Amino acid sequence: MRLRPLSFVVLLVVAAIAVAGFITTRQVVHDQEKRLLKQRSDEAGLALTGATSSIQSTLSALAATAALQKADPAKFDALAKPLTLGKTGFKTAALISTGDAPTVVASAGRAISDVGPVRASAIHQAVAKQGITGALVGTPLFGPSQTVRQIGFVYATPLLPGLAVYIESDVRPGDPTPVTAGAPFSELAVAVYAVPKVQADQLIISTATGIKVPLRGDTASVKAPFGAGQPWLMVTKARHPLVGSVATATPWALLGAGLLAALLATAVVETLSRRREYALAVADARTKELTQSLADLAAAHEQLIRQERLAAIGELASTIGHELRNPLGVISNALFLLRSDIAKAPSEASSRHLATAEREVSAATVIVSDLLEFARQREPVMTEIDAGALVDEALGVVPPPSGISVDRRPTPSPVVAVADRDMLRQVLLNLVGNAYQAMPDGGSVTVSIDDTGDAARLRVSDTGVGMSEEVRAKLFEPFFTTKARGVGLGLAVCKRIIDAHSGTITVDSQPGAGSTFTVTLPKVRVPRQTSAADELRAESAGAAQ
Amino acid sequence: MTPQVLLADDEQGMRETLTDILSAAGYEVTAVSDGDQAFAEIMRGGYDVIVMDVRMPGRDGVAVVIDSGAPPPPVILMTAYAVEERLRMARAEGVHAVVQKPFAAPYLLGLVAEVVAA
Repeated sequence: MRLRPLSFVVLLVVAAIAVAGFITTRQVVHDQEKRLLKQRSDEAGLALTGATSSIQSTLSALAATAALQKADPAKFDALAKPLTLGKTGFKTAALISTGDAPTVVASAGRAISDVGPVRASAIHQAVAKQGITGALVGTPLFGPSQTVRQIGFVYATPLLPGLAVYIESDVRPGDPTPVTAGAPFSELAVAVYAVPKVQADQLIISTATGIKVPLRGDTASVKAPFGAGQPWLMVTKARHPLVGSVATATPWALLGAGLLAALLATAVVETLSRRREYALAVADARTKELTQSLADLAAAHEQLIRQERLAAIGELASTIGHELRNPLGVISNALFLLRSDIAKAPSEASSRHLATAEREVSAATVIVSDLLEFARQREPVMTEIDAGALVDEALGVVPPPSGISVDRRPTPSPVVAVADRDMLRQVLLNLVGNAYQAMPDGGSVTVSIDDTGDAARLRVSDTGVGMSEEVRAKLFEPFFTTKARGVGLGLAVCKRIIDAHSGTITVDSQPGAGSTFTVTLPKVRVPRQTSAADELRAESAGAAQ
Repeated sequence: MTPQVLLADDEQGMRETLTDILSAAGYEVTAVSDGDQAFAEIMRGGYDVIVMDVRMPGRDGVAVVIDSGAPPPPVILMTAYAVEERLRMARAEGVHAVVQKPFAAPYLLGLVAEVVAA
């Protein structure tokens, strides 16, 4: 399925708004989470500081008592022993000299065989910073083992000149301390380092059960001051979102709802777009149909007007044609009478002039007859006729011009044709007249008739200019003419007449080699297939007469 | 006895030329110029052949043929117009021939001779 551009834009915009809302909300929640974490971490830092200050008070009390006892080693054991046995977790308590090479003066709990550089360094720092009130300094974690490490706390005070109180504890940084749910800060995973930076071998304690140390991700760091030494670092991370699960889920809920809204909006816009397109398409189609109908109507109207005009012209031509037939008949009769007179006193010139007049009257008669024949298309009235006599009559009506000879081939017996006499005469007059016109420089016309048994065949040949293939193809079309004179109806009328007789008319011609027209008329008339349109035209033509 | 021809045509030129042509061929011609006169002449009788135009003032050639009744004298109708319906009626009445104007005079003379010989 392809989305419409508008739907695609709606989808993109609403989805973008949803994503932007998601990002913004998540940022707000994240900021809030960070702020809460920082706040809780600071509180935890304060708690840690409180814990370290209790070490200081323990040690200062121990130092004060030791001073009162004059730092008696025997008494120190009794004094410090409880510290190493109790729940405080201290393993060793000692009095250590603070010289360049500190040595253990008295101790309780686990014995210290060698002070070592780490403890010595812390002792020197504490002495340096003791001032008049005393100073607590812690050692970094130390010891040969990686799993059980030691951490020591030195307290130097002017009350014990040349000595420092020292206690030491074991830590197992690899074992996270479990946290009881509901206890203070149980929502945090905490890692405490004995130095002010994240350093794996200085991890004192972690409550990060199930969480990898060092803590990564969203963490908060607090530096907790530890006595006079370097501060400890506490790193915290929330076990669960501090802002609560609803706040955490809100951005996702917003994103989901936004994307759903985007899909819904897209679906709605897409549906509306499609409906609109469909409606527009329907409207377009209707408009097109209407326009087409109007165009058809206009064309039909125009056609009607043209037909009416043609009918009017046809009627006029028909009337004029008919009116011309009477005077042509009278002239024809008068010429006949003149020829009779000339026969009594022969004159070559008068006879020639008379022949010209007869030929021209015949030409006019043929033109009028062609026009009327074309206009009215009447059905032939068939009779048996002597084809030879009709040919002779036609040749008598159109005597050849000078320079043209006519060869009328004789037949052994009369040839009978079944035809409409006037129509067939019209065909012959056209064919003979055309033959004369095809020979402007003279020549001969040959007219022959023969009986093929079931048809009468008439041939009119000339020795004239002939015609090309192109001309032959259009020869029988109405108004097609190659002559300077004439309307181009003659051969169209011939073709129509011969078709109405169920006969054939063919032409054999080459340019420059003359033409031969052959007409074949069957003796038994084959019923002609007429279309309804033909009948209608014939009726309306008859009504127009 | 000279064959009698009744010639009916409203065109003066046609009447005159045909009268001359038929007379020259040896017929005695009576020429009239409308259908009513033609009908009156036919009723009077004595004609061997009637050569008549179709369209004339008064009744037309076809009406004359129909009105003159049976047995009709042999009739040759001439027409410049092709009113098929009228010509069909005329043929049904048994006219000898219908000739389309203009025609060759020898053709008409041939038809007249045919009728007279019969």
